[in-house]
Amino acid sequence: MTILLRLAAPLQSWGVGSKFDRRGTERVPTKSGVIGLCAAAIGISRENKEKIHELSSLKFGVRVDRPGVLLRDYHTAKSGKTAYVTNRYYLADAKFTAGLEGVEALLHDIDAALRRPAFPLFLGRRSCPPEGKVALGIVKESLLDALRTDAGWEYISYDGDGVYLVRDVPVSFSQIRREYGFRCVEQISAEKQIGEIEDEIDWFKESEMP
Amino acid sequence: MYISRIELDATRRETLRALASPSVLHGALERCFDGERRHPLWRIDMLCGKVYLLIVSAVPPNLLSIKRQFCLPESAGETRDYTPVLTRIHEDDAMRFRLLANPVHRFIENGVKKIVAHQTPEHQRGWLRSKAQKCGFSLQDGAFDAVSEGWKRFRKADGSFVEIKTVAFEGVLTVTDATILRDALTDGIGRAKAYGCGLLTLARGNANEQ
Repeated sequence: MTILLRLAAPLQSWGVGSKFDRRGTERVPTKSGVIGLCAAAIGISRENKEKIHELSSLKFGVRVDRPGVLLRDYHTAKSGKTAYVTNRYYLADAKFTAGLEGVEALLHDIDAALRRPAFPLFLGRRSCPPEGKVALGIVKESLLDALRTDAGWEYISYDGDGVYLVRDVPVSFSQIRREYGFRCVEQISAEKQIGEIEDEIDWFKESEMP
Repeated sequence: MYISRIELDATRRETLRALASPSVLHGALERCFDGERRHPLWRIDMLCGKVYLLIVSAVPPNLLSIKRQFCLPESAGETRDYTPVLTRIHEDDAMRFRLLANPVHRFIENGVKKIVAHQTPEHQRGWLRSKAQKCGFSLQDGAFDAVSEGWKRFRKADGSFVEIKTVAFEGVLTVTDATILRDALTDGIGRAKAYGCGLLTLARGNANEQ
C-alpha cells in the first residue's frame, strides 16, 4: 500500500543542513519535509515524538517529474538594530510525486487529513504553499511500482540500501530541540531516449545552409 | 565573407572562464585577425552536448590562439566561404533561423537616456518583429519564439561591470529583401555584438514542416 502526494508549486525549498544565513535546498523533497507536511495535515504537535516516529517509519520515495530551477533569494533581515543579509534557496517551478509505503490505516489517516488539513500545508518552507491538490490517493502497489509509471520523469530517489546517507529522518520537530536521524538513499534514473536531440540543427553544415 | 567553427573544450578552466565572461572571448577573437580591427560576429552554440564557437568574419580567422587556449588538442576548426551561401538567399524563401540577441529598448527618463533589456517574451518577440522589418525578413506569429534567455554578468579588464540580457530566438522567417538580409547576416542584429550577440544563422532544414 502506498499513498501518493503531488508536490508542485511556484516555489519549494527542502533544506537539510542549513545553518545561519545560508538556507539551502535539496534538489528533491526531503523525508523530514514530507513527514512534517503529513504531520501538519493530521494536526500532530511538534513535541509528539511517538506519533512522528510512527510516521517516519514509513518507507519514503520521491519521483522527479520536473526538476525546476534553482533560485536564490537575496533577503535582508533585521535583528535589533543590525540588519543582515541572508541567502535563501528555492526550487522554482518544480514538480514531484512523493510516495509513502506502510500500514494501511495510517495511510488512510494521512490521505483524509491531506484533504482537510488541520494546519496549512506548505512545501518545505512557510512561504511555499502547494499548487493544486496534494493528495493523489492510495494505491495497492509497492512504493517503487507506484512511482515507476511510464510518464515522463527524470529519476526516483527512495529509502533503500544505498551508501548515500541523508540526515533528514525526523525524530522531533520540537522548536526547542530538533532532532534528525540518518537514512540511506538510493536512486534510479529513467531510461532516456537518445534520439531526443536528433532534430537539433547544425547551423554550420553546408547541406543545412541556404 | 567567411564562416568558421571550432569545438571548445568545456572541461578546461580557461574555457569556463571565457564562457562566463564574453570579454575574454572577445579579446581572444580580436587576436585571430591581423591588421585593422575587424569586429567579427560570433556565437556560442551547443550541438549534441558539445560546445562550439561560431564566427562570421570578412577575412578567414587564424584560430590558433583560440585553439591553444580553449580547445581540445585535436579539434582543428573549420572555415568555409560564406559568400556563395549569401548569394543563394532570395526573396520569399522560408528558412529556419537562430539568433542570440540582446533585446533592449531605449527611453529618456528625467532627461537621462536609459537602455533597459526586454524582460517578457511578448516584448522580446515584439523587439524581433521590429528588427525584422529593418533587416529584410518577416515573421509570422506562432512561427518563432524566444526559446531561452539568460544573463551575462562580468567584469571587463578595466574593472567596469557589464550586464547583458541574452535571448535566443528560433523559428521560421520569410525573406522580404535579400540584399538587406545579407547585410544583417554579416553585420549582425542588435547590441552586444562584441559579446556573442547578434549573429543570425539560417538553415534550409525543413522549414515547410513547421
